[in-house]
Amino acid sequence: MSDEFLYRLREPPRPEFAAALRERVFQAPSRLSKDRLFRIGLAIGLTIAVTACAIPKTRAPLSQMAARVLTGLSDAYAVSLPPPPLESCQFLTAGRVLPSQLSSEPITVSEGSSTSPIVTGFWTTIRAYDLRVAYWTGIEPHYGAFFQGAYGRDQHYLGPGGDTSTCGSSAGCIWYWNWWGNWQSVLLVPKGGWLWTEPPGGPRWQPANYQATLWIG
Amino acid sequence: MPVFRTFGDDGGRSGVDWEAVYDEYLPRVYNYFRYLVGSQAVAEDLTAAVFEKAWRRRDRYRADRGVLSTWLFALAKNVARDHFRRDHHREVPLEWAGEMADPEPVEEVVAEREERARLGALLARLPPRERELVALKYGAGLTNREIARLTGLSETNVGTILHRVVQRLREQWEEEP
Repeated sequence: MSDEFLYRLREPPRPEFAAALRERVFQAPSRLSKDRLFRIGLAIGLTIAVTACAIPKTRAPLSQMAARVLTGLSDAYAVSLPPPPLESCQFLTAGRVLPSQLSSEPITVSEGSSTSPIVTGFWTTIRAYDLRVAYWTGIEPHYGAFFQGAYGRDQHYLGPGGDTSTCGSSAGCIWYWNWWGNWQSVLLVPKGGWLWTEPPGGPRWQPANYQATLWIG
Repeated sequence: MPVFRTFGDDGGRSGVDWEAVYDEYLPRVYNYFRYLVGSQAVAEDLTAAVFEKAWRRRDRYRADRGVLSTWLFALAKNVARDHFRRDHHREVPLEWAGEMADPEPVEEVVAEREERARLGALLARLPPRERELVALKYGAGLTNREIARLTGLSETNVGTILHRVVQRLREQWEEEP
């Protein structure tokens, strides 16, 4: 059966539109470039700091400055801050380097403590521990992948086909799926085009196939 | 002068020449929307939204995990879905004729314009899912397998639905001169 007639609607985009869009798209600021700039800046800063500490002449003023910072902290009392964006730098305010999977803030400083700030939480990448109905609207179930922690983000599907296989779902690719609940620790899993196209027990029904980065406090 | 960032801007991770991707996929994404929404202006807006998103999110594309066309058209599907959700209608406006306006059209141009208007009107009557399949197949030029990956339908199912739709459209096309 000929379907040639259906191709007749095809047309090239207007050249002015194509040119204008090309310019707009490729001149948009690049997040990757910003990341790279941040890393370069951080490396330069660290090099300067290490060099300054190694030179006796500059070591003394630096020690005084550090002491002032620590003295300031000694007057602090307990503070509670929301978790920072994961992209934030990986250092404590007092200058201690944390393991790479930990973020710098928030920290809580106990009243009267002067030198040992306590880390109250960290970001880490974990897998879901359950996949079940999160809530109902009337008779309609809404499924979710349950994670330990809060503020879920950067979700990935580890089953066959990886993230790309999620793109056919009714909610689009996995990075569009919504987090749910007060703690945002339940990743709502679309049903149409995703869960219900696979029999229960298949890879899409395995909680361990859902991975995300969450704040463990 | 635009600054093109090809390869290496994502650390060479995806190994994608984004400029070539733009050249290859711009007409396909544009025609996907043209078949889906009809209006040239809306199709241009939605196409722009797709490429802007794709460029911002290019570090999320993994060449080893899937086909680029699937990734790009998944973005396009989401943009379309948001559009219809916003506008609460799916009518294809009959703009195929008017937008090709020419001050003094010759006979062939007039005939072509009428043909396009007729086809546009036929598409406008299709249910949303069938119209989307037609847009992916004939507008975007995707294979049944690619459409299946995008829609969650089986490849056979895609083929069957499209066959039925094309048959119906063809009958209408021949019935209504």
